[in-house]
Amino acid sequence: MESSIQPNRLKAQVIRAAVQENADVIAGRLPAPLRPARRLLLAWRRRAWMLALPAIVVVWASVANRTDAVQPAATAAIAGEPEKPRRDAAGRDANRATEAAPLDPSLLSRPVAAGALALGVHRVVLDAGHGGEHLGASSRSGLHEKDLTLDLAGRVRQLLIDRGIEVVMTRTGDQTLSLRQRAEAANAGRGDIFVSIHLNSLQPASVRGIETFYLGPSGRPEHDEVAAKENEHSGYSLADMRMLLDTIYADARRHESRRLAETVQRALVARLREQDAGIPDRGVKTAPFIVLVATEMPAILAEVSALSNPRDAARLATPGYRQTIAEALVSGVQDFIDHKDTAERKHPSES
Amino acid sequence: MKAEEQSNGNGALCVGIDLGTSRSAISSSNGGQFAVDSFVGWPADLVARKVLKRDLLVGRDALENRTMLELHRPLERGLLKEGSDRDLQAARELLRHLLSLVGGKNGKNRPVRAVVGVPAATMRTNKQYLRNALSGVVDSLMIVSEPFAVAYGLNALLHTLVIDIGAGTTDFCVMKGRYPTDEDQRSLTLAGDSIDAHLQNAVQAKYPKAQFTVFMVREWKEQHSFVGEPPAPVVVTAPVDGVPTELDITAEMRSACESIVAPIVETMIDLLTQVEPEFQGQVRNHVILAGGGGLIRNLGPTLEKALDRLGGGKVTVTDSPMFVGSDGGLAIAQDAQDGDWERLKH
Repeated sequence: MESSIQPNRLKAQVIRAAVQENADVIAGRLPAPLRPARRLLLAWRRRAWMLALPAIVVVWASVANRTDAVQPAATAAIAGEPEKPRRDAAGRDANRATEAAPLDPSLLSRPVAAGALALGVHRVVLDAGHGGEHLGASSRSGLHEKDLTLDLAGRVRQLLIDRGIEVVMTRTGDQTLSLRQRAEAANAGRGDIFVSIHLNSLQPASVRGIETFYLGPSGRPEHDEVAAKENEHSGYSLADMRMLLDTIYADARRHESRRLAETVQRALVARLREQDAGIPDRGVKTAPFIVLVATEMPAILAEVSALSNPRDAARLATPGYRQTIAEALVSGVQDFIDHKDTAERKHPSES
Repeated sequence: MKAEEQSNGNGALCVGIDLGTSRSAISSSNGGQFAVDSFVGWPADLVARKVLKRDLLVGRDALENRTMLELHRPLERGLLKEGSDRDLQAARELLRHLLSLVGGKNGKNRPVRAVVGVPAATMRTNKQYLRNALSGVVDSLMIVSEPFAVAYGLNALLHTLVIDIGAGTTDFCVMKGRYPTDEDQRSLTLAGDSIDAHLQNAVQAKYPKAQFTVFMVREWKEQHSFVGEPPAPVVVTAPVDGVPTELDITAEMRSACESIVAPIVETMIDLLTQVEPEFQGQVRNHVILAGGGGLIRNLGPTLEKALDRLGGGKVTVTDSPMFVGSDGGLAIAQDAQDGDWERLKH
């Protein structure tokens, strides 16, 4: 099968690769195929034809239109935000990337071995959305998303620790963190799962509800809108986004992320409806949030209530309601760990 | 044992370790080759310590004295259990014990270079945890997927499918003449332990008054496991109302062992069909069955029968399922260059 020289050369090659993989783990680096430079090169080689100028022009134009369409809502959601120009640019990039990177359907439907990722959850990374200069959504009564998410994350942290689960927080105070810094903190913390806590800003203000996102192509303007809001200040370029999404949409952890999103959404709806029977279940959805792209573990972004809705905002002002939300999030995480999610849901974005 | 030690840079002791959920094996460059049960126990109280006259028991010793011990099995599904300091300590003691068996770290100030095999689908966080756990126990550490270590040890790096059935996981790896990527590997959590659980439940259901432990069940399995037609009736002895009684567990043994066959076949075929078409035939004819599960009677022919629908194939059971992984790890450790080991120092 092999000549007398080949086996030794082959052995030297595989040992070199094994050593490199170990060195990457030691250094906390992404595996070589997932690193931006390598990814860029590989993707260019594989998909050079897709980057032909005419296609880019068409896609650029179509996404620019879409971004214009969602602009008013984004502006309304983050009123008072001092860095509006940067936000606009980032949001537009994210939308373009979503449209410009058509997926091979066979990648999305590729089955993941049931046991491949069932290897235990011992450390949870909690990301309190926004912070510092980035207020996030605000209520008419003056509540800011950044303060509430930090409060919620602190409550979730304590509940998880009580259950013997280690917790890593991306921020513990009113700090300004870029989305890239959050993802880097999560990866450096070597968490098993990543939960980003946010509060929604929906228009009109009468709209409210709970929704949980995991990474995927949205294909729906309203989800792009949410992603654009949350992706502001990301600093990622269109090329970065394209490469990241190409890789991650076919990633095995996407399945686990969906499962986590489902258990958390289910727990949130069940617990919050005990206090507010009419709160809408906006469902589990996919969208290209930067923090979900760049984190290396199964990751979700939970919009646990709508701060733009006066009724939700009033409830969020009470510690009891925030504690209920925290308990629901922990319950959802525990259900994920315990695999209490046999009922698979079908999502429009995946049908 | 090998007659003489192969030379290695700086007089280092090279070891390959198959850190198993149920049993761990070590092969060393000085010819040592040992397997121990992956159990570590500390005397439960002062009385136990006085009776045992030791502060720590490892392996079979720990199992046999388990009633007097705080017993720990530090691995689960082929990985170190996380979150418990005691389990972490148990893992380190297990490693120290393995190394002491081959003369490593016994006061001789000789660097130890270790290659440790882990399940194919181990995540990077788990690898980092293992690396941290073994800090100070070995000088340099390389973590590789267990089926890759098996393939390396058997010089089967090209057009080969390795199926390694351990206690915690069944690992698959297609060797394509390169270091395996995630796409080349799979892990199932259906393996020896799940057979034990299945068998325990089935025997308990058939003989509700019989008294037995999971350790007895494991021994029954190791002596009598089979799939397909029974080679002989499987009769074991266990107390019923305190009276040693013979129990026929033939059907239960078959059912338990066959519970892992369908998932293994499905995964094997799935991986085979993802091999480039022109090489699928070669890989089908070079399927290697390793690990303790390779000792299940008639499993190889059963997998071959499943390959018939793809055009046929050949499944080879390794000669030494217990040590094939650690021997492979040792081969990697000895072939790696000094510069490689420098990069992997703790």
